[in-house]
Amino acid sequence: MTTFRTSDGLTINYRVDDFTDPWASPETLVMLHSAMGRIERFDPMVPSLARHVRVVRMDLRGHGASAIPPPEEKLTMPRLVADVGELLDHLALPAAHFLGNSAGGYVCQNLALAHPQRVKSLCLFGSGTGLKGTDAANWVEKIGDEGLRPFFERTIAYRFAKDTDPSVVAWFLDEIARNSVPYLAKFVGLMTSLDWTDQLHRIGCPTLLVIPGDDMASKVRNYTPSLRRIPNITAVTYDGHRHNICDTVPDRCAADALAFLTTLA
Amino acid sequence: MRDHFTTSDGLRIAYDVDDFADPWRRDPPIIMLHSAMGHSARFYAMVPLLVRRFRVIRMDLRGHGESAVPPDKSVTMDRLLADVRELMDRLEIPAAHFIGNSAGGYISQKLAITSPDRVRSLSLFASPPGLKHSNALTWLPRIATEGLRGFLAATIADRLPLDSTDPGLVTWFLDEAAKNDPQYIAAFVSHMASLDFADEIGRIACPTLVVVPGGETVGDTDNYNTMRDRIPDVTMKYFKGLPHNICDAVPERCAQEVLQFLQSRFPGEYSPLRI
Repeated sequence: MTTFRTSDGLTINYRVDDFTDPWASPETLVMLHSAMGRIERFDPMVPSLARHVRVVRMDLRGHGASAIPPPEEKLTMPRLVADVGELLDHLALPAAHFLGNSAGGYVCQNLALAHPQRVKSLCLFGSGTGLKGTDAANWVEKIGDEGLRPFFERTIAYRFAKDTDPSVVAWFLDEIARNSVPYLAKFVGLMTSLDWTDQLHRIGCPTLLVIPGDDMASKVRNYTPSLRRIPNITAVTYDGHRHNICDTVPDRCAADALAFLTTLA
Repeated sequence: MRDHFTTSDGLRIAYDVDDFADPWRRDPPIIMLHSAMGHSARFYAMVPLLVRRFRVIRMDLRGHGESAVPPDKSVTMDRLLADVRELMDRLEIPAAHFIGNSAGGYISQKLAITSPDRVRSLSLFASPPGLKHSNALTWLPRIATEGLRGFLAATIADRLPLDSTDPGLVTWFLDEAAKNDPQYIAAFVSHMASLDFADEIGRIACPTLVVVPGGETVGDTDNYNTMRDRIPDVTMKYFKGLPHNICDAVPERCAQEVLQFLQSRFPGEYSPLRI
């Protein structure tokens, strides 16, 4: 396990995967997972990408093998953004390409807004402009009442289409059940309080947005502001897919990210 | 992920596990064994193509890479085979698909002959049944006088197709090979050059892929005809015109041959991509 300590003293777990030519100087792609995710959730996407770029993944604070911040501490987007900046510092990287899934993409976008010089490009998968005004605010209470796994089992149709391989769904539920409910409440609570639509025009880097085609119908996710306002955006829609595209079709996601990164080279 | 274990004779062996397969479909894995003067990292470009389908384990053979050099610098096939079996025991792998490059393929073949229950299939690259029918013994005085790097640099055209090879690969290949202990390599090559187990390969019971460098420069190409004629369940592939080091020169092509072979012969063990 490789870790670093943030400026506020938290231990963050990260991993580097690199199958690039050993004599070359590869670009770096930093991948940030979703709420309730962790490094391993991206495993299927990594190998094909890591043949072409150095892939760095981190467990967001409170997730995976990173430490959970003290309960009394307020979670903020600037702190999540600072964690990523400090990871770049730790790796002596002035800038990198970024790939974010859902809430991981929210952190990527806010990094691009706060420190544009550190973000060479953005690949956003199922990641619009936060969860403000959506019914995600109600999740927290329901998860508290029902428990993590039962809540997500009951609402699974929101994340996976009916024809999804049951092994994928079972794996997702096992992964979800690993999380701390109080921290998740804090994390989702933060995401439902944020909306940076009015800042989107300042995301100057090349941006790929991959939209789960059936996500819009849920009324939780809205990708229209991103499409209209991010100046240098390329959009791809996966027809018939619900929110969790990085879990259901990881090889397709990786291929699209790689194709996008190749156009920048 | 890199890890280490200690063999039953007390030597520290380094190995890598690359596991990007879907967590509900992980076994049996692939074990990759590298060539003389090689190490696990030389498979870096083949691995990403394999790891979505199979868990992949790469071992640095003793005396190579980050594995320790035996104190007495001795080399025996029995000990090399024991290293592989002990790694499999440690990782609780009853049987695996093997990819062997050159000398790594000799070890894989001998394992299939001596421990058939542990080898589900063989994919052999530039790997005949031993080096006895080759010029390998002529390398030794040259390595002694020119050094490993000097010898390999002088004979690099026997190993890589220079007109189509990235110069960065050539330099890296030479730099990495030069990190080996020349005395141990001399013992290793001498041992391999003493081996001829052509009369045993009829006992290889598993499905076997033999990929032949069409422009083979190490050893006699007749050795591959023996494999074609004697291994009961053999699939032959020829890479036209390429010299010995096909896993270095065309790694993606090598990996694709393995995938095609395993998909056709072991469809139930071959994980689909999720697109």
